[in-house]
Amino acid sequence: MVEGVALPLFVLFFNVDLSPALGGILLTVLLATAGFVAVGTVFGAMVVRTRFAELMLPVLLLPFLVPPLIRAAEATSRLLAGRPLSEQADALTFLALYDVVFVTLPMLIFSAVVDE
Amino acid sequence: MTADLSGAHAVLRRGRVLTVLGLAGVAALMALAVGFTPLEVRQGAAQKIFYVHVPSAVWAEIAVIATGLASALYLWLGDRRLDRFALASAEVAAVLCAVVLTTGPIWGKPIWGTWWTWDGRLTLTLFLFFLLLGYHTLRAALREPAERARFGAVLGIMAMVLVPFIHLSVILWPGLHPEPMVLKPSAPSLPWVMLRTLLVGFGVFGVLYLGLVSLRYGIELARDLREHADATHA
Repeated sequence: MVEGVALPLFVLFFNVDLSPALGGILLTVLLATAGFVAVGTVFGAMVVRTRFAELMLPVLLLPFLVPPLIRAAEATSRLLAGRPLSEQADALTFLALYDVVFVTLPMLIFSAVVDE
Repeated sequence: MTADLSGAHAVLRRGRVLTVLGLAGVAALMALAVGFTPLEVRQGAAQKIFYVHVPSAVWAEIAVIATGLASALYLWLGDRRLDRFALASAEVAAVLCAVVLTTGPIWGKPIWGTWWTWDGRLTLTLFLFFLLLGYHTLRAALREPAERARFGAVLGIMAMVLVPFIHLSVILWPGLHPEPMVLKPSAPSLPWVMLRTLLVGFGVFGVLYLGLVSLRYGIELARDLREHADATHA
């Protein structure tokens, strides 16, 4: 949701021209966001039960978010530099794989988090 | 009243024996690597650290996978022993990860010319280490023992799944770190004398892993027994 607002604002303020690679960038953003949301939901549900939730969440999330974040950043920066989408196949495969794994897995184990 | 801790003592005794054996083995491994293994042509003496770095890295990965498997089984079967093992394995994994992250830069400095680089594998190993620290922080932050075990298990499974991404990162995400030479689909690309020392390294670190896990398991078992005894007598 925030990205929907933030992305156009960044384009406006930093005067970036997205048009040559808009499709690729949107694809990267979507893939990365899906992974973020999936992992974030599980940990969010867990840390609310701890004593210092607002501190625990980043501690646990960071190791899971950094790999997709770096790959997504690499892909978008190369796309913005005008490199073709086909060249980013590696990064996008990584993101897609990550999404598949980290969306499926929490669905299987989420009941352990919310069960009483 | 004192709890009956004999079961825990037996585990701790076994752990102590295995740990001493493992540490002696590490000393023997270093002697073998320095004295009885030929110098690598391009890297010279600096390459010797390879025989400590790689086995500890592999065992760190195995330890995290063991944690994940035990966690998954714990969620399924609800056996306390599995949770204790997952905890012990995660703690040893953190230690092994620390060994990897210490020996790596010592090796990197003379060969790459830098202590650290934000290459894919280095970065992910660092974050795996943070994750293992987070695992223990999360457990410490939960008061309810059942919740501690359940959330620990969920995180353990997630950590296990992260390991293949790290192991494959060298291939998916090329950087300074060399590609796997032994744990890869084709035959190991290493001369036999070096492979022999490396295999001894795997064995030695395996014994050390089992020893440390037993020690940690024994401590946790003793704690559980003590808590249980306190609860029944109170």
